[in-house]
Amino acid sequence: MEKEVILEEYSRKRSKAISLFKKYGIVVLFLAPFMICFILFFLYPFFYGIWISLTNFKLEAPGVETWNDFRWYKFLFDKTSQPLLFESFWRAVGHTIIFSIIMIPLAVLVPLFLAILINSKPVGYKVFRCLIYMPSIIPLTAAGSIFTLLFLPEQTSGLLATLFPNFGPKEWFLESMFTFNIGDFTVDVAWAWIPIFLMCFWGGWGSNFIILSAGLQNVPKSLYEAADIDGCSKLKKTLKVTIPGIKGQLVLCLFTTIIGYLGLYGQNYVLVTGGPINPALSSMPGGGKTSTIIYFIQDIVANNTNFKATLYGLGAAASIVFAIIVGIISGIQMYCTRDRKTGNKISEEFKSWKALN
Amino acid sequence: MESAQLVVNFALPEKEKTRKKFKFPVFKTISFIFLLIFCILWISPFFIMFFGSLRGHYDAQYFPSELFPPHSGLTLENFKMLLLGEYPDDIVHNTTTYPIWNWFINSCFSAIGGTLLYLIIASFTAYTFVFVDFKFRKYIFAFLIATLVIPGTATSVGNQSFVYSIGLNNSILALIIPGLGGVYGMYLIKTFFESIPKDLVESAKMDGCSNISIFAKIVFPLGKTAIYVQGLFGFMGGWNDLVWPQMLFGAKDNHLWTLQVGMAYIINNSKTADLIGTALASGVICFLPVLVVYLIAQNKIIEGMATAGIKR
Amino acid sequence: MENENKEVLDGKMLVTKKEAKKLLKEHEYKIANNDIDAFVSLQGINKIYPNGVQAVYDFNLDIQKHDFIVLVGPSGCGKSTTLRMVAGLEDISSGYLYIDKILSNYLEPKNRDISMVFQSYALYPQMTVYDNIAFPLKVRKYTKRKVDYKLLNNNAVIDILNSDRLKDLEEAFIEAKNKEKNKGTVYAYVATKMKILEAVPKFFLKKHLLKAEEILNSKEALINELNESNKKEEEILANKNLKHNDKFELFNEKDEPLFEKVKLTKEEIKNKVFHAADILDLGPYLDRRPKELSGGQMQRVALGRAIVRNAKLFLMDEPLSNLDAKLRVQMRSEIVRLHERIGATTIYVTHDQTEAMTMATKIVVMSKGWVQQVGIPQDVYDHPKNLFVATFIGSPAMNIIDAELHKNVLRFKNGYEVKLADDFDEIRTKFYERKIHECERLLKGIDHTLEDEALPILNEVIELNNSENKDVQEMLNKLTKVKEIALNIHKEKTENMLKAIDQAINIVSDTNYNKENVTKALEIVMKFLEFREQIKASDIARLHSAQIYNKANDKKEVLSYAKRKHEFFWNKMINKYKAKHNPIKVMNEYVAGAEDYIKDLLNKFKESLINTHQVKVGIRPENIHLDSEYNKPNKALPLKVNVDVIERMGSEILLHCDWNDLDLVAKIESSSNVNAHETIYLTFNIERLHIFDVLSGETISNKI
Repeated sequence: MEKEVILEEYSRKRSKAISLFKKYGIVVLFLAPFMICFILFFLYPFFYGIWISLTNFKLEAPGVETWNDFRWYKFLFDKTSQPLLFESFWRAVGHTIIFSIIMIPLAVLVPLFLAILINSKPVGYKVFRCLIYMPSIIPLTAAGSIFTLLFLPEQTSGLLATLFPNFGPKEWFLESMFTFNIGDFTVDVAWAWIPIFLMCFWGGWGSNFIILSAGLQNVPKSLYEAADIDGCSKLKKTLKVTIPGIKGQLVLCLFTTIIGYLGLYGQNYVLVTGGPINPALSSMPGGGKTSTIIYFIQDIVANNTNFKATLYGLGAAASIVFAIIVGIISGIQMYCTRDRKTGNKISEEFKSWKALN
Repeated sequence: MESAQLVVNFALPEKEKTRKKFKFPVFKTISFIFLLIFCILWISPFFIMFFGSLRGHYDAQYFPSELFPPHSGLTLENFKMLLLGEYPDDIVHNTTTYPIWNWFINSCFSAIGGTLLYLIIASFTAYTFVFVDFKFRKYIFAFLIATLVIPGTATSVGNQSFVYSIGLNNSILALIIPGLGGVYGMYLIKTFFESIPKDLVESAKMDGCSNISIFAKIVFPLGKTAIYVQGLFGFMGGWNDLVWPQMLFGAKDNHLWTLQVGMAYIINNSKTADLIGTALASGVICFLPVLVVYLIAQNKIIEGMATAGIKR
Repeated sequence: MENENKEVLDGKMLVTKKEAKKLLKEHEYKIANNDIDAFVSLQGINKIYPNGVQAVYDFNLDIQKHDFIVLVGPSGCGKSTTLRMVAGLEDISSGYLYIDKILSNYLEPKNRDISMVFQSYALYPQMTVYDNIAFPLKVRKYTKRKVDYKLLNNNAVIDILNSDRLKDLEEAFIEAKNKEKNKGTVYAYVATKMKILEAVPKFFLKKHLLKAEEILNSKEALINELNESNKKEEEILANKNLKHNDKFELFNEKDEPLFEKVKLTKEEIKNKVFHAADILDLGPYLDRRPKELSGGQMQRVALGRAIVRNAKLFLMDEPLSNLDAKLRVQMRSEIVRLHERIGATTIYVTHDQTEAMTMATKIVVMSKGWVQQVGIPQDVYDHPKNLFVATFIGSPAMNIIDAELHKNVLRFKNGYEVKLADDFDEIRTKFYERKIHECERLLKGIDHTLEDEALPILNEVIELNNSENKDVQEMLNKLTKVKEIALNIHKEKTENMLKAIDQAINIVSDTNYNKENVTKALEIVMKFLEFREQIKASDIARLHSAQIYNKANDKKEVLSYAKRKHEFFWNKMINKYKAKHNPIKVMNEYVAGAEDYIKDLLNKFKESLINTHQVKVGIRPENIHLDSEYNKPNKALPLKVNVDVIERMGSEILLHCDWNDLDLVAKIESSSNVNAHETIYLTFNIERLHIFDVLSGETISNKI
């Protein structure tokens, strides 16, 4: 005989089970595709990359790896094991960081300035907005072609060279602006950074501009009126009402700009390949006067079949190091721009004041 | 004369209006002038590109400074060189013909196909995070957001090997793979969905809709803007991407290249006066589709960016 | 001692232009008009927007010090606009605004010495509550007497040294060091406790002399040191030709006091902020940011920011509308208490008539840009001037019923009759006579017959002037005739006209006959005669109680907005230009055939004067009682009504009744035994009836 159950209790349990099943069924059904893709194409490769960097991975023969005792990391961090490689990598890191430090304040302040101008809504401001953002959608290659034409030397009819023959060096993409030595370390700044800078400026700051412009319009007008009545001059209003009002947007811009410039690659590749070579490092990946971290990595894993075969793990290691650097810098930035927590210093002071009065 | 002065003094009995303070909009005019000059300079590279691509190699070499319009007028020879492989006789060139049409198809597949697939996946996911309450919802989402910090390069190396290991390294499907795991687009759509009032969804549930029909009939029509905007961004991002296709196929057989990779290669090999026109022509070719999309949808794009910034 | 302003200029002074410029700049363009009695005076304020819409018509109000004025009215009636004009956030299209006798039309908001509380509180989101309240103080510079701080501080230390409070000082130091770890607050604490300047504990801290004995030991040396320092300082002052008094305030050689514009010190700011926080109970919240506060707390922070500056005038723009009901009631009494404590003049804007009635010393009821009535709350409640005020004030609203009035007997549709007081007929007659008089005056104002007579004659004179043979005598004759006609024109218009004609006569009879001057003079006379005064929309509205008049206007406005949306860009620009230069004409286009309209009104008033005419009768729900329970004199005959709905409010009962197809609302005591769908008898006090004239909407009474 079958087991007898009390109908009410059983129905309660069963309906609960059914509803849970339904609910989580939906969740699983809807979330599954994304989570699968996320895990397969994001998490798994991430850890796979870490593993590659730690083993003797060969691209053509995956699966036959042995622990390689941090070999690649030694190349990157130990000067003596592979001095040229070491120098090439760290030069790339240096280029990236210095360029970022120069670019990031500009990449936030110049769009802010433009956004303030647009915010006063002169005639046809919508057209201006559209035009200012337009260069941001152009593919890097197309933009690269324009700037190449501009900066080619005179014998190949570059535009700037023919219009302003005495301005700048003869070979934008080959020569160095200035070099100097610190000890036995040569600092070599190439002219090629200028076209790269212009390309970043032209094509990269449009989105910052749009975000900041939207933020400016979002500051409630009653705050400005209250500041008026409290007696602020125009400058004070900008400092105390506008800038704090767009703080969220500024943080967002900073965040995306930092990550963007640390990962600078496309502009360099398009403008400069075959360009200014640092003769000492010419046989190394990323050996150029305008190399960046990603350039180094791409050289290994994509552009050069030779490197791809021999140094693949190095590419993985370098990308892990890059991720760590980016993580640290983003973390610092998020910490610095966090919302201040409430303390209680002032209310304590108030209590003591009240006791005395 | 005294009587002349008297004449002036009689004012008409008009209703006295206190003079309104007329503040000359100094700032507006200065902004306008500055923006005008700025935008003219800003747009000039586009003109350089368009006119440069329509300039024959002869002009490029001997009359390099004449750009608007070129010395002997506009020609389509650069485009012919690229697309049809017809080179004028006096140019030293690479003898390979570039499979530009293949590249175009590959780019389309990557941009459009990848984006569509991603939209479907991401919108369902966003819907679940907003309207369905399940355990650990917050934690899972926080984890996803935390991974935004990891840059694409860190995962692309692993992705490349992964693609190799499952044998997809010779097919174009590999182009769309890393995009599908992206969190940023899903985050954007989720933020938009959050502005749909939950009451609508709840009353639909009371009326007896299943989740799929709620999504199709209520959430999707209201959140269409977000999906549309994300689609645009996805398209532009997929079209313009250089790093990943190059990583996959860069050093190999060029039938699998996308338009960007191919054009980058062309530009790198066209840094001479004769061939610079082809470089610019290639730029025009890969820019035109995006430009068309942008001009049509620019309002939505700008609004989408703006709202994304604010909702943060 | 702070904010000692310089003397304000008297507006009636006669000065040359150069001096005027200099004086105005010195005194920041603040001119006083000493004829004005009231503290705040708004005279004839109008607000016309660039697209022609007029938001405020002819607003006149005098506000005395310590008044609490409430501007109340439905949304869109212009009350917020008026408030913003007083604040300086909107430009005043015409009229004059005097704040504390100073003409403030063109002053910036920060110079008007006002504080404002916004509807959305407008708190700076990134600053703590303390910073929000302190912000107005930090931003301004105050004029203070110039004081020599060195002498002041030195002498304060000397005083303490010579007093016997050194033991207290030591104790204070010990207490302070126990409580606060921050050096900054140690001497603040000691200074507050001992009620001395902060410089004194600073001095001792620097020298590390914290114990009474140590101080006593080195007392002589310290005093000598300080005296030396004083001497040096006096020398420096003497070199600069400056003198000082006992409080060490500085004078220059001409014995004029010296002022400087400085920011307040941290100590002063802190004291003021804490004082305000104390009044408003904000102590524990001083560290928080606005997003961590509830609605009521944010409200109080906004109030704190307003009171901390001790401004002369407070403006509040619907501050309580974002709060929930219970909090609203609580904050109402708090604001009233605050007003009594601080005593500042306040202008308060709201759409809630309960707030207006409970908080105000004077109410201003507004509708569609017009002021409907000004008065103390009880007055506005008991004696509303027109239908709008009657139905707006008082909750639930007054019952309005149509009726016929014959001398002093009211006849309702269902035959029910009420006999009003005996003198009512007189009041009624006087009312209509007044109305008729107003209409006639308006019509007279636009009567152009006399000018039409005079114009052709003037034309003849001009022709004579232009022709070859000038018959001066003929011209003079004609001009004299024109003058005669002119003398009969309405007095208000003729003064300048007569002057012009006289001048023309003088010029013509001048022995050196100058054709140019004659032409000019005649042109001026012509302009006067051609000038046509129109009946303005404002006159009609004033005559006809804005609400009823503007009913027709509503539709037109809606239409024109819809049309405006699709108007061409150019049309928009042109209309804007037109509206800017002739706003009154634009309004007139809405009132087609103004003259006919007024004539029609006039006839109707005349009829009402003689015959039986329609009226509207108003009676407040609280003045309707159950027949069985009401026993006062002046009681009307009972009405038989059918009760539809009963609302039991707890403290009273609202009956919604049906009296022969007329709806009535009555308020009766909660102890009454009434049920729904019963038939009961109601009555009312005849003296509490309000009779309204249908044509103009005004109450028929003898109050003007």
